[in-house]
Amino acid sequence: MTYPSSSPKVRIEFVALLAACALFLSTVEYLIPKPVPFMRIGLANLPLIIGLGLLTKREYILLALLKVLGQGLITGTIFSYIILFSIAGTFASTLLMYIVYRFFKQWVSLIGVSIAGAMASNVAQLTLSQYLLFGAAAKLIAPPFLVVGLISSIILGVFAQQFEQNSAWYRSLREGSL
Amino acid sequence: MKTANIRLAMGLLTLPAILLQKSFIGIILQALYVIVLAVSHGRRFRILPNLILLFSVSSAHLLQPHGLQLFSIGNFAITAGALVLGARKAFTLIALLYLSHYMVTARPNFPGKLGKLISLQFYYFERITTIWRTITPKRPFIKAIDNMLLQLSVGGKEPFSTQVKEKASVTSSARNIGKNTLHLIILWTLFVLGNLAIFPVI
Repeated sequence: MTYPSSSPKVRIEFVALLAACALFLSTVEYLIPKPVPFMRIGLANLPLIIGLGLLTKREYILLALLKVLGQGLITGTIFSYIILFSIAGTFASTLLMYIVYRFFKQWVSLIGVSIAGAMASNVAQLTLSQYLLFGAAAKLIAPPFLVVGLISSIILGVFAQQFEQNSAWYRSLREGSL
Repeated sequence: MKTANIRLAMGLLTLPAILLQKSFIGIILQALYVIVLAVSHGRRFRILPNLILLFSVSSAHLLQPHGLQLFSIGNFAITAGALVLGARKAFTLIALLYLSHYMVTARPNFPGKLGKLISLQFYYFERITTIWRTITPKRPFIKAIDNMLLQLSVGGKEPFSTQVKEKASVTSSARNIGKNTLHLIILWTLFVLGNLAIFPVI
């Protein structure tokens, strides 16, 4: 089931709203102190997880694109190598999360979807870092990177699940009363 | 011509001068120049992420020994060539990052439908941050986010066309064009000086 409104204009605005939420959450995350320098919870991915139950495939890809471009513009990294990592990570996780949610949602919770997305994102970014930054040494940073990714994706998955269960906004959207 | 486009063009024309720089000193000077440029246009410079990048990329290159051996830690040889190669790559990435920061200081507009969508995204972003300030309490976080989204949805019924107002385009002055041309010339001069081995070779 997707977001009930069939008006293309309303639906596209809804995608822009979710993309804006991703930007907002990335600024919120910036304010949260990190126990490890490169550890991120990935709050900005929350709209991507929530969007799984609301958007069509095309709208979902558009949301991922807007998230990457918006973050690149806000942080000023849109014309730097960082955007390549952002594109690789976001699109790898978007693709895998969509597949997992679409075909295995009876067996996989949002926590599982979040873990799948984080692993896809981390593997894509590690592969890219092998070519752009670290060369063969990329395999040395892989274990801590993947462990941190696993922990943060579980936290995000729990958060997404809580949101889906308790949000009046989400419920209204699914019922078509908003 | 808009200021945003001038900076964008200047940045794009500078890219090869940074990417193809062979001199270590040359790339350090180019990196410093674009850092100053970005900071003088309001971007923040944080030393720690840059140091982490410099340290991690240089260390990673040490795994493949290259050039003069400086010393060794057990069986692990620390070579000058590998260190310089890693550091040069790190400075290239830092220079590209701050060039990108400078290029977006005047908030470039994307053309077409995608551009309109990005404008709409930023319109909603501004509304979200405005509404978020009025939300109390902000704990629990999920409840606060939910409240914010409900407020946004209730108040967000204006038609699409009235929501996104085109920003008044800032037209670039001749002085601005001149300044950017000067930056371009300086960065290309550093490239030429570096590639002609006029800077000391490390």
